[in-house]
Amino acid sequence: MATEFETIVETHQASLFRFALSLAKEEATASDLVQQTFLKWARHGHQLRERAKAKTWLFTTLHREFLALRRKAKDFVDVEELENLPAEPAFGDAPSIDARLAVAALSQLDEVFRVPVAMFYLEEMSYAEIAECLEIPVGTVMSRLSRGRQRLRRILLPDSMR
Amino acid sequence: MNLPEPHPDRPEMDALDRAIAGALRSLQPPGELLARILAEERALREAPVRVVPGPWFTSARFWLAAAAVLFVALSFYLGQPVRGEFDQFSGWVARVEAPEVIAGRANLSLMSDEMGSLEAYLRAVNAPSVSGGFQPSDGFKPVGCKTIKWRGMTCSLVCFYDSQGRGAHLFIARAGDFHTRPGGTPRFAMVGNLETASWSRGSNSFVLVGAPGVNVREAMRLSESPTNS
Repeated sequence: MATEFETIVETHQASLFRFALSLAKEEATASDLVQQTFLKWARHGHQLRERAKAKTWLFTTLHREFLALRRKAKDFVDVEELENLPAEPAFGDAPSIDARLAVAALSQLDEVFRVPVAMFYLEEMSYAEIAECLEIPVGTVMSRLSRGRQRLRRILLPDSMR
Repeated sequence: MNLPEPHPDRPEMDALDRAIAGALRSLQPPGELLARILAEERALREAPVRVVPGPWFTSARFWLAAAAVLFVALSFYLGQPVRGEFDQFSGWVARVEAPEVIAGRANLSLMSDEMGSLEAYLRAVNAPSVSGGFQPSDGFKPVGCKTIKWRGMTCSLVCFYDSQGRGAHLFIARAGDFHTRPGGTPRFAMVGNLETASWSRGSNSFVLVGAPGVNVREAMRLSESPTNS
């Protein structure tokens, strides 16, 4: 029978990994961030009274881990992936987007937009949940999401924005 | 899917949102990630609890830290060793990381049988290098290296193999990252079916892990190995 920890990991590891990848842009660092986050849960998760907020707790923790990691390594940003981005992806009325391309496009957004946009697309998080994770007002979340989505659209569909 | 409301002036936005979300959600984490997390949590559960002092201005943590300091001082006074992080590191190496390497999942960053090249690479990426702290025996040759992360610290791994394909894997960490560190004389231990040797030299601490059946003494040139640091 699975322990509570195993259940938590199995439930959230995929979504946390995707979020970590959108932040860190490389798989190894994303895996480390996810592992570090679950270890924090193993140490401190029992202190969370509202178990329904486990997901928010995990995402908040992973984001903080990422910020701490970036503070340690200022040259963290890897532009190699960005350079591989096709200049003019061709999309029709019903766009078909490759996952790697989507991550690469997401990674071109400024972090202030990238984080809420990733939470929004990846995790179906509500504005309120994103606001709680990032410790910013809901109005700010909405504004950043709106601008972030517009910029993402401009990256993925450059022709349609002219 | 709880996606954003369609833009009335840009109806295609909704389709694009769905396409982006679908693409991003198709990403899957590496297959071994789940096993790594569970193994690390198991190692954490089995490791001795270490009290970490928190910020001084939160009174509860302050007093907890004060209690920890008293405990450490008392332990030293009584002559009892205070187990530090190095034991947790070497336990993680032997239980979690080395089995992955032995199973062929190391994904080395640089493949070379030139020790100088491996050292230069590790220095270039600001990772701890061998720096004279280890000499393989004649039978074992280096094949490659990579860096690994343990609790935010950058460590190095250098893999050695003999002519029969038997491996010995050297993990290197900065000794200053640990509260306590092993001495200069290699300390041997069995962790499951893997034999390990731990020692420190200069600014680095080392853990050598032999594949099953490999006696790590065979892999190290003991006469040139560190004695006391």
